[in-house]
Amino acid sequence: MKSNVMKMVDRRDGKLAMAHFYVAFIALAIGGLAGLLQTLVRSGKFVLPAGIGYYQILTVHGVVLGLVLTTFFIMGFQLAAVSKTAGTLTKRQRTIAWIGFWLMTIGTLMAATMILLNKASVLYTFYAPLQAHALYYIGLTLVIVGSWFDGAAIVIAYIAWRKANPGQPSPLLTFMSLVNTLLWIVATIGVAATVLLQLLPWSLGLVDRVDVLVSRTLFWYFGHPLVYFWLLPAYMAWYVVIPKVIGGKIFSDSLARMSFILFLLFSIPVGFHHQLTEPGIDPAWKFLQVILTFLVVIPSLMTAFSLFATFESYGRSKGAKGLFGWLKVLPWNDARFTVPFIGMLSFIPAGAGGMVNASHQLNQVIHNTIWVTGHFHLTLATAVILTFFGITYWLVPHLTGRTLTKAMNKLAIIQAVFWATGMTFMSGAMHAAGLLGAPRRSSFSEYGGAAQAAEWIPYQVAQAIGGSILFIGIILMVYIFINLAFFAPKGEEEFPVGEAADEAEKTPMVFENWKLWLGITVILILFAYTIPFIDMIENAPIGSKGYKLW
Amino acid sequence: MKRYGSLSAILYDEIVIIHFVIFTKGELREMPQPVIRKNTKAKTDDSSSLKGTLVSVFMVGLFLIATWVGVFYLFMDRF
Amino acid sequence: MHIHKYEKIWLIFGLTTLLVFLSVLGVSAFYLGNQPPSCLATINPEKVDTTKPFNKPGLKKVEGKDWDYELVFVASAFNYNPGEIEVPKGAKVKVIATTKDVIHGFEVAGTNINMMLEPGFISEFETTFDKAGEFLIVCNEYCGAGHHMMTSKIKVVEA
Ligand SMILES: [Cu+2]
Ligand SMILES: [Cu+2]
Repeated sequence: MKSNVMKMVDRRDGKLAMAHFYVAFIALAIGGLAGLLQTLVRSGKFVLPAGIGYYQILTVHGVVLGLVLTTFFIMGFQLAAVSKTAGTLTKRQRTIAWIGFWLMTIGTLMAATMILLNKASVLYTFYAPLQAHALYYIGLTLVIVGSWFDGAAIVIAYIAWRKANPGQPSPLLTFMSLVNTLLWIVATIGVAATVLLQLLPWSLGLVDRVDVLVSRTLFWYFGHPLVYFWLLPAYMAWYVVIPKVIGGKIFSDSLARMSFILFLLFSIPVGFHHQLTEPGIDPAWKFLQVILTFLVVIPSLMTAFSLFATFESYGRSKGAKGLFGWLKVLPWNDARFTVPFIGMLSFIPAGAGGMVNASHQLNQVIHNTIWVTGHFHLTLATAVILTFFGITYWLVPHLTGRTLTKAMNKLAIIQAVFWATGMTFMSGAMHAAGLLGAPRRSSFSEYGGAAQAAEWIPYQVAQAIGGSILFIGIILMVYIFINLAFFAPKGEEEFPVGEAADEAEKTPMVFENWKLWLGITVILILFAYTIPFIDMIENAPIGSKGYKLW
Repeated sequence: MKRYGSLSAILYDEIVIIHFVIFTKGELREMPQPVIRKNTKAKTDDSSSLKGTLVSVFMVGLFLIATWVGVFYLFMDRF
Repeated sequence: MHIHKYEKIWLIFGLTTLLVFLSVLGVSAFYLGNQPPSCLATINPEKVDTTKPFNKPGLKKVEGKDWDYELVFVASAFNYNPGEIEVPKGAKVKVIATTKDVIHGFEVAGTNINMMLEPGFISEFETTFDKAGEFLIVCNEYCGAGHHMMTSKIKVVEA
């Protein structure tokens, strides 16, 4: 287990991961521009040119950032992490992953084309009975299926490692990549089911009508674990990479594994917390899933403790005194640490908001208001994405055989400051306006001159200011990425993998018992969903025909 | 001290511990200490202490509670 | 597996907090009736206009029920019927709404009335309009090009 010589990720695996990152950062540029335009339109001071629709760019923004950027980045990162910690991929594993990459890319292009042709302005949640062009659904299906191929490469690599190292716990990063992959596979079954069995045949005209509630339920069965699929790679960096970057130790290997297992168990049977205000679902079942949602808070509480403990232990080992003296000795000048750290901080208000969202009847206060948009711009668009940026700063040069220069490091920190500032404006204003009732996903409107709507407008201007600052952040990020991929000086950049402080303590093998964990996962899903799902189907109203209302 | 029978007892213990952490620790630092203790026990204690962590996570916890209570109040206040 | 003493304290505190939250929500929902809107009744979305009570949208006084009024709304792309309505302050009202086409939202801004309208389902919410003023209704679920133009108004007036 002590093979901590500076081992580079194999060049061929590096190419594979980089291919994923190219798509991810193109997506960042396009999606970021769309986001900027949205905030400008909604300030009421700007009109889109050339007949482009607000909801068209909103669809671009959601699909390209929520689905494309995330999935590509995460798969690239996890493949690199597995290659680094469990050994170079075999030719077969790499081929499978490349197939996955191309399927995802082709799918992305198909969906993007349909959106640009204005045949799919249904947003990334594509709620029926709004009906997009069939190619949009096929494109998204290919993205999902492609991600399964990437995932299969990770699963096969894990199995091979376990065979070669019997009786040993897998390397922590490989373990975590595997958990997130399993989570993803179990979750995407839901969205694949609604797209393949319901929406696709319906959009092709093979069937006339679609069951709206069933479709939404399948979507949200996927939609919440989707959020955790985004979050867990950030947690991987927080748990394993950051300790090494600051020169400290992982607080506890076992607790890290345990929190990942808890995420696998509890992040799926909770989709109803996105459906709390809708008809057709008994409130008792909603409440049951609210309880399960609250259980998924626990691993995040554990994570918060572990991270603070890592920082404090490191600080004290450097002689820091007092209650908070350890804060001062952390390497604030190192973008690989500081940028994800800002992300961690943003997860505090993000988590607070999330608990409100999931709180059964409290959901009525904020449901589908722009508070929700503000919320996931803290979770995904700050905590997760700043961590991904932080990963980029060492992983991309590591894979391209270059280094992060002092100048780029500085620019990276400036980038994060822009991001944090812009997001404070934008997300803060969104939370506030949301509490006043401003709806999400809406173009600028004065709502017939209503006094309440007039109150929202200053907040919308603040969102546009924040959005503009964020867009500068996007430009900087794309610039840094291009530098690290093509122009930075040649050299060796470290792939930081931390060691556990409690190395002496043996990691319990029970964490690798997938029959057990997947078994419990399935039982929990069946417990939370079977009866309400049967109810839905038995009491279903007549289905809906498709509408194209954009 | 072990009275983990009821919920309130647990909460009580937590509050005692936090107070201890925040207040006594700060004072101890101000106080002049015998040289020998400083070099051995006090120092090893300090270098492995997670008191800052405990206080930090509790600040996070209090923020979570404040947010939740705030929105709950809004819910109760509105019709 | 060793767990640090402080971490135990933190987790006990966290679990206790979660338990308290859930208890408050549970009691409020199941004993005081503050459930989120979860009506289980269905309707044929193509026959809304001829189905009671949606054949006559608006405010209706009712007798012998737990509420004094029924306030019926029909949503369709991109408007609500009625487009404006007055409700006497202090009235105990059951808001009943449905959609004729796609999914819409039904949010009375600044209140707890916030529910999804889904084709085939009726959505209901019971509340007492105890504050006077003008309350804006907005569609808060994307429904198409005119989504942000979809609006109505409730005027709560002194009785
Ligand atoms: Cu969720
Ligand atoms: Cu609408």
